[in-house]
Amino acid sequence: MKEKLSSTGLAGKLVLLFVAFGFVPVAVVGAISISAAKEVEEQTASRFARIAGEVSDKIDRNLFERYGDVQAFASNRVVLDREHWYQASEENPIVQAMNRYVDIYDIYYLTIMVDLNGKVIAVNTRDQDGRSINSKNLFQKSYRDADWFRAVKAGSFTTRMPFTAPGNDVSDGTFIEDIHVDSDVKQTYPGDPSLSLGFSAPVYDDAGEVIAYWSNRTRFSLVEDIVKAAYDSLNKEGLEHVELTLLDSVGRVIVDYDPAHTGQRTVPHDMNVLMNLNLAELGVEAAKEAVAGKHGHIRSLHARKEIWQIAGYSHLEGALGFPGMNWAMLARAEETEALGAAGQLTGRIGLTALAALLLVAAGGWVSGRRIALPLVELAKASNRLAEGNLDCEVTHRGTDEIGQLAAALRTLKDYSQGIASASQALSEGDLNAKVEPRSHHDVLAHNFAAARDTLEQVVAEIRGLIQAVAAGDLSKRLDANSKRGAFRDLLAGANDMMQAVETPLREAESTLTMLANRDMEARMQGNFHGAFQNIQNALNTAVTNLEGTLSRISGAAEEVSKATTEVTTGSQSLAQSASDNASSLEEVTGNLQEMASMAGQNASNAQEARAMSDAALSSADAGVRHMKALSESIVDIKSCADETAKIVKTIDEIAFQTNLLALNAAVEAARAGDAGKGFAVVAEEVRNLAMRSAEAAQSTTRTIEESVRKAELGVQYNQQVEESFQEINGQVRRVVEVMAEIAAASEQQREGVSQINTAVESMSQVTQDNAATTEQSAAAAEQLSGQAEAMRGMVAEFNFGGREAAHMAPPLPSSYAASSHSAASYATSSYAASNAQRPASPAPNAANVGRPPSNGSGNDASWGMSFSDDEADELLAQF
Amino acid sequence: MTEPATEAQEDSRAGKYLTFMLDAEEYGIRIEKVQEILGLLGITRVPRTPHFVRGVVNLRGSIIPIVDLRRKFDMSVAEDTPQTCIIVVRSHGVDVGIVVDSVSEVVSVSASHVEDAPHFGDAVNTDFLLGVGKTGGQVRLLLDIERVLSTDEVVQLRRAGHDSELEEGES
Repeated sequence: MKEKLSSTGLAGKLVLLFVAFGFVPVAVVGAISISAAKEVEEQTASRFARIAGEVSDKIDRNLFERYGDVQAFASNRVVLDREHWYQASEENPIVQAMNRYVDIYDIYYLTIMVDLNGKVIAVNTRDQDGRSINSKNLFQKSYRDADWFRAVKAGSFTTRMPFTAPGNDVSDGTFIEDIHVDSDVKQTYPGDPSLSLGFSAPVYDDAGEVIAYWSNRTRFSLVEDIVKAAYDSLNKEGLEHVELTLLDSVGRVIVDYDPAHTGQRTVPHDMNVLMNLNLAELGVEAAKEAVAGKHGHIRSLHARKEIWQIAGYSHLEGALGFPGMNWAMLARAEETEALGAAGQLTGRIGLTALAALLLVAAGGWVSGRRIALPLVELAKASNRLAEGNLDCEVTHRGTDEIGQLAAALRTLKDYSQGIASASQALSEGDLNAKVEPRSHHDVLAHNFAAARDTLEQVVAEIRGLIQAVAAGDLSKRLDANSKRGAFRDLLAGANDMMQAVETPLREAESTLTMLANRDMEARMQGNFHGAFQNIQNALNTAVTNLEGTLSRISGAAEEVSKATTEVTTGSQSLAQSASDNASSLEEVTGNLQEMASMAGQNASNAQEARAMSDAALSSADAGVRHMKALSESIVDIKSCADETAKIVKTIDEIAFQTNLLALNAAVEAARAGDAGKGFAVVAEEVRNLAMRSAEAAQSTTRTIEESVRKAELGVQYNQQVEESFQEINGQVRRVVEVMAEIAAASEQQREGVSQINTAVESMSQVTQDNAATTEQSAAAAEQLSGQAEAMRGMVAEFNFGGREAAHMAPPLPSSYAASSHSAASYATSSYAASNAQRPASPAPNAANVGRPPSNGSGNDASWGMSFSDDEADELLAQF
Repeated sequence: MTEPATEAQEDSRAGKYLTFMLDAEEYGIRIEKVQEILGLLGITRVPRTPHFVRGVVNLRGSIIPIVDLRRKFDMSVAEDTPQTCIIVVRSHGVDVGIVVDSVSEVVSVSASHVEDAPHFGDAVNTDFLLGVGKTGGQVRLLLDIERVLSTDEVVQLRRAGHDSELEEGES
């Protein structure tokens, strides 16, 4: 990090030097160019100020004339012709004069003359091109409340300026209205922007008395035309992008002519801008200055276009005594265009200077680094070598002093690396590592060779000792006095170690030899330490334990003998129990068979009951069907009765008609007088018959009604009976279901009893098997007893030094005794239980306790019979 | 009433009558006046006729006005029944149907069984009664149908019948 800083510092210093020498001439040239450009800029700006002043002056002079016009018009003697006042006709000489003025001047919308009360006396009826305009309704208008009327009547003129006309030596003034959209003009000239200026003055008679007032509505376009003309002339001089702006007295735009931007050679009438957009308030410096009454030029940012502009400005102060409108004129153009080549030159000089500076800086940077970098590298490598770090590269080569320094450093690094690799080989056990001395002064190389020779001799001594021990020769010792210092101590220590190992090994050898001769009194004697003491203790403990174990085996054999007797007795009693069980099971089997036959009887009875129920059910169903048929019959009877009732009604009607006929006949007969007497009798008879049939019909109707009523009753009864049958049906169905359940239950019961029977039979079989197994177990116990005796004989062959093995044995641990007992009980109980599955499997041998379980394949019996000496040794080897 | 008139009437009132029921009372009309007895036919209502005129019927091609006698006598209006009949009578030379509750029989009334209608005072007009017949314990009011239907009314009825005849012809 530090080296890096110093290298940067060295390079940086060189760069600064180069830049410092390069900068001065560039700066001087730049400064001269910029001052020349400033000069051009100043001249251009002055020109714009001049343009603004010239346009202002033109406008002022023009308006001065309009100021005079109104007074001149008013002095026309035609106005004294009172006979034609208020006459809205082109024959009116005042109107004719007005039309002429408008036509000649070309700049007026309206000329209006009003009386002292504001009532219109005359108005022009034609426009500047002689076309008719609709100004007739203005004759009806009163201007009593108009601003100009009040101002002129009160004599408050904009300024007083003499105007002398023939026959009029009265000096007086004019009232001027600033730019506005005139409502009268708007009405008279539909579609025209109607931007107007107002010029108003009094009208005098020959006696000098005010008799009326004259007001001109002047076209604002006359000002716009002046601006346009000024632009055209500038354009011819080569200024294409100039923008001419006229502001009112507070800074609002009233003319903005910028064809280069809008692309149109007309003055725009955007009412959002005109008389609305206030440039002074928007902060346009030129506008602020001009509105404040100043003239001059400025460089400023255009509010809308956002470009730098050069602006000339001027305040309209009037001319020839005319007070002016206090408007402001701006002439603005984009800076680059206005300055042209001068502006571009400044930029170019600046760029060139900058490029030159960059070039000098880059050159300084490259050269500085070329000198500084090799020095930095050498410094880094020296530092690493000084710290002992050989992992460094010196790449710089050259013939100068820096190059020589680099070569010496490389040689030093190579020598150090040689020493380092030889030392590493020695440390890794390579005794052939060598370092060539570079001169007889090379102390480092000579000393390295002496150390290597000494190490080689010591290694050869120790290697000889190790070879002897490996061959079983523990008596070999080394010559310690041939070496000095630490090497001598090392060889003497090896001799002591050999002595310490040899003694205990010889003692252990003699003890094991005694034990091999079955002498249980053999023990390892002597005073040893560490691992040798452990060997002594382990050997002595092993012998003692072996002795104890043999005596316990003798005791255990006796226990086994007793246990087998118990097993025999238990087996006999078990056999008796099994036979009792078998007879009980036979009894159970008999009872179960009886139960099975009863369950079968139940099932068949239930089936029979079910069949009977089914029969009852079908009877009930038949009953329901018959009742339904009966219902239908009764309904049929009812419908027949209805039919009959209809017929009877017909009969009744016929009887009525017959009655009428009979009466008509009687009438006819009566009208016939005596001639109809016989016929009258017949008619009477017919009528009687008709009456009787009507009565019969009525009584039939009653009878039918009665029978219908009874039939309905029958239907009701029938429904009740049907419901009863349905109920019976439901009950019988329930009985059928219950019977089916009983039958199924009985069947299940029979099945159950049969399964129990099977189970009891298999139980009986098991019991018989048990009895047989018990007998086998008794035989096995007898065999076991014989084997225990044989074992006791073998243990007695050992020499215990005159003591009885049983007395010698330490007391048996209680768990050992318990497990021995449980082995016996296992032989009596679980043997019988498992016999059903493994009838041929023998009982586990009692001698098996404390030995891994036998593979159980059935050779235990032969193992017990031929318990030879070899097998006893094998048993001992396990301890 | 004057004597000679009564005598002349006594002769004329005896004879055969067609009796009919109207609101539980029995009435009689001289048989000579009766043209025909009809069951209740479809009656066509005629607008702008007096309230007692039920309308007209088409009897074998001739249009006959129908008078509801209950309404004529200011009785309560009753529903028509199967027994309701129309008696066609000739009054002032015009056939007029009268609606009655039912037709009973043709009876002979002798002079001895006829009495004058009782007098209820001058305010009560009983001119439309020929008299009261009493046979077999029953009382029958004998109507003078010509007086029941006054001349003016008959003229009106004829016009009603004529108008509807015209309408029928036109339609």
